[in-house]
Amino acid sequence: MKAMRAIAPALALACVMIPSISAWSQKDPGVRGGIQNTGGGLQQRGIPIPHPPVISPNPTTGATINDNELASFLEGILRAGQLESTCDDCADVTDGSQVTGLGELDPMFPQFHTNSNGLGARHNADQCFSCHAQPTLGGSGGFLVPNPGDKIPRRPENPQFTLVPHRYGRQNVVPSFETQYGPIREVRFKKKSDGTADGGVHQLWTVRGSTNDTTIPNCALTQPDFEKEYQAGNLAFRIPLQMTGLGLLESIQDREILAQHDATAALRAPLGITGHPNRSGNDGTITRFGWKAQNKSITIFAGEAYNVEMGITNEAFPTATEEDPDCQGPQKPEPNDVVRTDNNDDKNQDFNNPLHILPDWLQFQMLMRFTDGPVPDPNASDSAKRGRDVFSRIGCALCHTPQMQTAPVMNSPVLQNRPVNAFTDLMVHHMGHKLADDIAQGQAAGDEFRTTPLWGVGQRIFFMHDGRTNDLLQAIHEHHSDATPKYPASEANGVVHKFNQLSPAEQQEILDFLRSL
Amino acid sequence: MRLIKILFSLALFHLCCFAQVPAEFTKTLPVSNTQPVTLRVDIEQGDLEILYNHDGEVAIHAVAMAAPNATVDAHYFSSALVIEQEDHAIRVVYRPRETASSGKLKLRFRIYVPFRTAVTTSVQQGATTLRGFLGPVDAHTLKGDISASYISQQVHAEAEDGNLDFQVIGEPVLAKVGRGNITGQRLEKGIAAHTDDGDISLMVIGPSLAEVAHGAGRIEVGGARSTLTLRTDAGDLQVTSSPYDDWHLDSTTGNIRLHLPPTVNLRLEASSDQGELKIERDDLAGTSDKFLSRITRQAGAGSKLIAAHTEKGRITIR
Repeated sequence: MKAMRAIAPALALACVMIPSISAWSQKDPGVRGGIQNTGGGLQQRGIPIPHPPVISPNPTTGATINDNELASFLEGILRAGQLESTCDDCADVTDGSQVTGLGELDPMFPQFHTNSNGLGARHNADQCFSCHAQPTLGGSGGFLVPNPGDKIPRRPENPQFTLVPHRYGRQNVVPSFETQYGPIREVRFKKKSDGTADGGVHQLWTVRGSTNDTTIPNCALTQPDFEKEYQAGNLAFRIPLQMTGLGLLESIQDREILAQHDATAALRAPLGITGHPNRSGNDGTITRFGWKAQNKSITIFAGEAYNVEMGITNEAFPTATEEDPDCQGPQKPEPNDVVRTDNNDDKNQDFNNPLHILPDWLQFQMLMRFTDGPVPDPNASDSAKRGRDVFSRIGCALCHTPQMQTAPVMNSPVLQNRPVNAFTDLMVHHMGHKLADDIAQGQAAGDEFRTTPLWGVGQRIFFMHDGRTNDLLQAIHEHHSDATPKYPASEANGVVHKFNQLSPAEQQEILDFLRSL
Repeated sequence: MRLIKILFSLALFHLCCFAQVPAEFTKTLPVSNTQPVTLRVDIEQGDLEILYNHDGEVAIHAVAMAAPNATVDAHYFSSALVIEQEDHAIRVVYRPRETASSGKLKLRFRIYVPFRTAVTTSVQQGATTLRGFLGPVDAHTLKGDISASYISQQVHAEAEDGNLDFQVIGEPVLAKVGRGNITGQRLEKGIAAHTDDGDISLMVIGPSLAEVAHGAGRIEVGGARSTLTLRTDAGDLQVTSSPYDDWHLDSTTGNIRLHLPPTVNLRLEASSDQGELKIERDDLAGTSDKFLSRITRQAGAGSKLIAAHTEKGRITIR
């Protein structure tokens, strides 16, 4: 009895500790391949960030990408790699000797060309790959070496911390929400100063102070007071999505999306999962790109991003977000990037041949269309393999639909009638007040988000629309949110509850599975 | 109707000749993305394609189609194709067995490579296509075309008998042909092109040198971005471009035609021992040009030199 009394406190302590220990025991394994092999990690070691993968042969028919499609894909890499600047003849990399010495076609260090389309007076980035370089060019947002061109590359970091805001002496104040090792964040304002709804992107940077362009000496643009808006809770953040596999997502017909959704109705209902498509206001078809599935096509996506992210106007988005004439080079006709019809090769960087008549923004969509989707780890662990079953069993797969099928007949045989393992239903769902950003886009309300495709999640660094965490376990928990007067409870609550009921080993299996994608 | 008959016959011929079940071969070699791949391919016969696909592996596909009076067994390549890998150095060698050497097999080799791949190829008979990787490239054919596009580093291509085509090459191109044409577009660092007998056509190029050694082969250049040195024997020579740098144009008996933009800044030295000098521009025109065999003119500050000479041809500048 005495002995029992003696061990009772220890037993009690053990009873308290065991659940805590088990709660700690499951852990996000981290970015697959290790942080040293992320885009920036390779770049720091003088290894070029891998090019995006060419779309794989059609597993159903064996069709492969044809010669013209491959040429467009390769041209797309070249165009997306160009460093945008405000003038035609600005030297590209002036701050030291080149790191990799790959010359003209090195997408991360283009040595000889500045794109004549012209960096917008306001912009979020000056190169597509600033925000799309993890784990390959065209991927999601990651870290980059902040001093390309210097002999000793520094540790990779958020390119919005030093590289983009200060390239060529640009005089930008970096807001506190762009941290050195945090996510790349784009900013939307929830409300305008008069209290009415805003929802639009407010570009972070201006070209004021550019040392490589003598044609805009009087540019005196100032940034919005982001810090004030941040403190007032008026900012909503978005992080860059991967561009890989988008051609496959676009090739899925609406009927397939709706059929897959209908097929799970009986299983979703008890869990409170509804979901609905976001639809185009023009033709009523399902829109599917972007955090709220707000964009209809990758072509629209490309044109919009070129204007919104880099301030470069084009046929799809022909009006500049900032029209201050003191901040536009005098040689910049509007729209900046258009189908070239010149009868000489004086403009648009010598693209005077049949293929290169396509403007950059259209070439971007060709790149996206023929980039393969992320490929799962071929050497996935047994734990990861078991995790796939657990993932389905507790209901994650009811929204993160493992597979859909592309249209039976398409212009490009490599895209048609093939499975797409994107782990998304392409629907938007209520996610509750914790994730709500108060921005409505189309039929997606302030708390609704598209089910993020999970292919490639194994090599992503940040999660959720605002990049609030780099921990997958935390990301799962962020799916849970109770109802408030403003927003209903998250549709994911039932599944998160089931996840919490799993044994630590099973939870770990799900994490391992996700990192294998 | 006659055309349809011909097309039908051709289709039937094709079906008859190569309708047999082919022998196929596929092998995938894993490589890491932290080291560049060095690929060496040596093929006696067949078309070769080396294309970027994705990092992490080199995938080799070979197909042999037999003519009706020939056979090809399913394991044909197991003895005809040698593949060696030592770390990131990969060697592919094809030596045909008897049926192939007698022309009864149609062979195609396709190799998918990571972006960081340096390639050396030797094809005795067949076309070579190289696309979308870092390079450098060293490609040779005895009889067959070579096409290289979207290569970041230097390209060196030689064919005894065949055409060479280059598009979007990041570093200098060295091209040499015995008999055949050379074409190129967007060669930022220029090209040194030589054909013994054939045409040369170049568009948007850096500092370049092009030569047709014999015969009536002509040279056409559009969008010269730097220095230009061109030479033909009996063929014409035509340049359409702004003179960004000095040009030296020389033909033995061919005509020389220059098409310049409305405003130029150049010094012109043109001479023809027996031909006519024809200046169709006000800024370069002088009196009695047609009676002169040598003229020197200047437009603008005259900082770029255009030197054009032909022994027997005509020189036209517009």
